[in-house]
This record gives sequence, C-alpha cells and structure tokens, in this order.
Amino acid sequence: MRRSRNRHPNAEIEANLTPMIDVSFLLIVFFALVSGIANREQAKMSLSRVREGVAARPDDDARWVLNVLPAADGASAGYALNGATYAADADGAARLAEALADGYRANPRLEVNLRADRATHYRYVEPAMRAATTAARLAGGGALPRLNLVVEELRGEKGASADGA
Amino acid sequence: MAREHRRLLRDPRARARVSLSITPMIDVVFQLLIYFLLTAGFMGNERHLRAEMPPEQSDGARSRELALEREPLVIRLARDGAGLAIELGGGLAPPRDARGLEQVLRDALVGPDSPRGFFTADHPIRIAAAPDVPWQDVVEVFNAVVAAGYRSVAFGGPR
Repeated sequence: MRRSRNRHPNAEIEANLTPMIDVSFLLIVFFALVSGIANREQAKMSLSRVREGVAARPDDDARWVLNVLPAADGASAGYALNGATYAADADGAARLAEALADGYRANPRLEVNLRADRATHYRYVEPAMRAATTAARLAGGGALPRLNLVVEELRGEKGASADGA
Repeated sequence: MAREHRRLLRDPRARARVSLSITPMIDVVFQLLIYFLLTAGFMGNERHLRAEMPPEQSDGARSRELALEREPLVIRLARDGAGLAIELGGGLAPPRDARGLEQVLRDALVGPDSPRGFFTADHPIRIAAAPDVPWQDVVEVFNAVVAAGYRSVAFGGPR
C-alpha cells in the first residue's frame, strides 16, 4: 500500500516574519539613538594622524568629550562639551573649566577626551587643556586631570615602538 | 438557501480573509536600517594618546616642588614657513622632523640599547609650542616622545 507523500497538497508554507520585523525595528532604534549620541559628542573635524602602534584604543572608563570646534585658517569657533558651547576666549575657557569641575566633583577619575582639528592652531587647543587642569584644582578631592588626545591612526604605518623596540 | 448561507459562514475556508500586506513595511524597515548603518558616526580609527597633565598647585607648593624636581627637557616648536622647527634643550642637536626627534630621544634614553644615554624614561619632558603651530605638528611631536619611551610628557614651557 503506497502512502501519499503530500497529505495536504493545498497547504501554504509561510515564514513567520514577526520576529524579523521586531529585530529590525530594535536595530533601527539602536542606530538612531547611537548616531544621536555620536553626533553630540563628535563634532565634524579632521583629527590629527599618527602612526600605528603608539596610540591606544579607547577604553570603557567614564569620560567626557571636549571638542575644539574648528574654523577657517586654523582658528576655533569655540569649545563644545556635553551639548553646550563655550567661546574661544578667556571667559569661555573659564566657564569651560567650571563645567569640567562639575564632572570632576561627580567622578574624580573622570577622563577628558580632547578632540581638535589637525589644522587648529595651538593657541586655541592649549586653553582647553589648561581648563582641564584648572577644573581638577577647582573640584578638589584629589581629582587628577586625565586627558586623552583623540587622534586618528594611520593604518599600515607602524610606529617605532610597535616594531618591537 | 438560508441553511446553505449559514453553512458557508461557519466554514472558515469559505470566509473572506482580510490580510495586511507587510512587504512594503519590511522594505521601508530595511531601507531605514541601511540608512542608519551607513550614516552612524562611529569612532572608526580613533585612538587615544594619554597625557597626564600636571595638577595646578599653589605658589608655595610649586616652589617646594621646583626645588625637588629635575630640570625638564624642553622641546620648543615654532612654525618655519610651511614646516616645523624643533629646538631641543639639554644640548641636543635639533632634529629635522618628528621622526628625527624620536631617534634623538631614543638615543638619549638610558637603556641596554643605548649605553651613552643620559635620560631615564621618567625624565620630565615639556612640549612648548608657539601659538601658531598647527595641532597636527604638536600631536606628532607628542607621539614621537611617547614612542621613544618617555612617560612623563607635559605641555607648556617650564614653570
């Protein structure tokens, strides 16, 4: 007696798309949020380039991102920290130091990531670095100004220390 | 006739099926997904050069520290046309560029490879850049000093 291979010749095979749509929407929400945070922290600029091997990968320590906003001819349009902008003058640097001090009071081991355009003149970057040291002093409590210079690594060009020296 | 109508209503296969077409929605979802994937501003090649900044101190504490601390090696940077002029303290020959600086500093470091070295790895180094030096040059010099093996690097001239 032969058994029929297809008992239900009219049955339709359908893929359940609901989980896929769920995951897709979750991914969209994730990317929408992450790109929003990234845009707030990362001002558009051309970072300084260094050879591969010396600079470290970013770690997971608590950090604030301080942007030195670039302008034409090596000038700066101000400093950006946590969505607020400060003028690139003595008054702006003082207010920036106060804002950073709040961060050091909350976390004395806070790291500050300094992002500056490669063409920006040192006269605009130096006050941002000095603001970090001033902020640590204002905060007290043993806060140390821990500064990370954010750079871009040139792939394929090894630094001397990375060669095993 | 009425009996036949009731039978059709009870039969689920005979009922008209109302279904939502989700294909366009999936299309749009994937378009959005690709858009966010491409435009997301991730860190990419970003790396960190850690700079331990010397804490600000009161004048009294500063004078006490100055009495104790070693004389820092000052690297002065100035703009030279389109290039960079590097001036080294400590009687060291001025290097042509950041790579040359790295070599000079590496030779000056005390270690098994450089018996003529006279600086230890924790010798204080100060990078004093002129106001109009581009940040790229300052970072390259900082990178060269760290790559040469020095650990105590700070910005600004001697206090």
